[in-house]
Amino acid sequence: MNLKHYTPQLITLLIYLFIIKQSYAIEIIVNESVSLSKISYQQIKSIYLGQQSHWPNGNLIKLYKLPSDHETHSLFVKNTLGLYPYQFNRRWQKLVFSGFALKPNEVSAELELLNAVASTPGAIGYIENKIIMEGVRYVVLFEEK
Amino acid sequence: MLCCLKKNKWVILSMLPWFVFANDPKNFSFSGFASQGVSYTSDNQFFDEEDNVSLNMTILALQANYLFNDKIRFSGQVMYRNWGKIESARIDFLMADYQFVNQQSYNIGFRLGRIKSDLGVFNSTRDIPSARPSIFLPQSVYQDTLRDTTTSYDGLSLYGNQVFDLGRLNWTLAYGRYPVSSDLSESILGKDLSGEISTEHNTQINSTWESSSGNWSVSLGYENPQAFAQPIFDINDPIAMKAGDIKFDRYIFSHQYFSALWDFTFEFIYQDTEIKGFELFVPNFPAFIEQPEFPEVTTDSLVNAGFYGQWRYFLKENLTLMLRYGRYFTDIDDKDGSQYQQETGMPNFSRYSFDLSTGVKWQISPKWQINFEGHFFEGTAAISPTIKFDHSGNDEKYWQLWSLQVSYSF
Repeated sequence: MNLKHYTPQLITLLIYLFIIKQSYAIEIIVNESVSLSKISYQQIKSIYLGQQSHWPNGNLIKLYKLPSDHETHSLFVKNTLGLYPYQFNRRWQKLVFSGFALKPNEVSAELELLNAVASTPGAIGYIENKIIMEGVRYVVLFEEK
Repeated sequence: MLCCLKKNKWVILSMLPWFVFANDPKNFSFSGFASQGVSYTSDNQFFDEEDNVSLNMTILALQANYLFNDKIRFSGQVMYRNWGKIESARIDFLMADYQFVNQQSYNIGFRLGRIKSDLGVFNSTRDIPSARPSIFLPQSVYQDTLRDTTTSYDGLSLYGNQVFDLGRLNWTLAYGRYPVSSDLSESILGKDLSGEISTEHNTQINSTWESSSGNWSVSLGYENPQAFAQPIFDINDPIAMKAGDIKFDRYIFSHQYFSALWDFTFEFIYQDTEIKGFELFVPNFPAFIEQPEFPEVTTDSLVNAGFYGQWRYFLKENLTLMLRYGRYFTDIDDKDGSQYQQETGMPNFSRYSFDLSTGVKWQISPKWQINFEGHFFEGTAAISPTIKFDHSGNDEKYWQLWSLQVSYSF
């Protein structure tokens, strides 16, 4: 088999794989005080939909998010939470104005979010590119079976 | 004053620690919004009595959250509302929230104080411009005439959620009393028959199932609010009404479907109403002559039912179009009101209402929003007081409502 014949297809496949990898390159970060090394997709959804307000040890979860029009936020909502951004926004409007949950802390950029999570006990957030920083722990996402 | 304290005991109970310990400003956070609108009503008295065009559409709300400690959060909202013929300033909610079970797949918590009612998709945010689909909610399910018995209750609730393989379940069990204002007596008894109105304790059960993919949900809620009314009359009035009792068994079923460019909401309300008392009589009538015969409102079971379907299309990320159709029947056994007309001589269209609505919502920026909408109605049931016989203000079968609103939230 001569691979040369398949060059265009292979290039397409590589680009496709690259895009997939890109679109899933969201990292979940927590403050090092949170004793957690992995978290299920369902649990991250419970946390970011305001349904779980405390960590299993009883400490308060401090929720951090990027602005709604931030690319990383859209990727996080679509790929990690599996929701359309309008669903996420609408749910939070309802939660906040009925008092059912505390509004997430919004920071304008990824580095700022990283710093905030590093310095806030109980904090959780998400970024696109892994940057190693003291005080921040990267959490592995897994699918619950 | 004492009566007021007693009536609001849940609210006051939940506020006490707030005042005693609220000393750390970094544990406070605030939100709020302001909105102003203008509306045009072609006929009838749904909104403003005097005029077709009304600017009485102002809502201001300020909300505060206070983290008492790592476990307990206090949350409250005050709201000023000048809406058509009703002007009020009230504590919308004020409660303590404590989530005491936190596991990977389930959470349980409780709330104490004045708590927003979460029955149906839009009840808890019926006054919040950024969280409701239109300026006027579908009247077939969210009747403004009964809003006092649906807004927020003084009591406690237990809530939780559980993740399953196929989806997630959210549930609430609540017990409390809806605080009522004169709005309710006016909408139940009518403007001319004002009086004292009070409510009994109410049990609420609510559950929502969301698919694991998050693209659809169904929910079912039940509650049984009850009100007692004592109309005030003058001895010289030509006609008066005796005291009475209204009980509701209210069920709301909701379904929502979400897709990338549009979403669809369907809701159905079934409300079994029991009415006792409210007999009409002539106050200044000689005792030895029998009172004239009046139509009766007493019933063991009057079933009100309503539904609507609503389709929202996202033209752009910040521009949403809405199309909705709903129907409401005061008496499910007399849908066209003909029997009622025969018995009372009142218009049959006061016993049903059909509503076709269309609107647009433009999110100019994360903080600013404009809504514009039109409603085409046939019938006046959704705006006619439950037991009122005077329909003279609502005498047009076909009518329209147009409205524009600007809101700012922070």
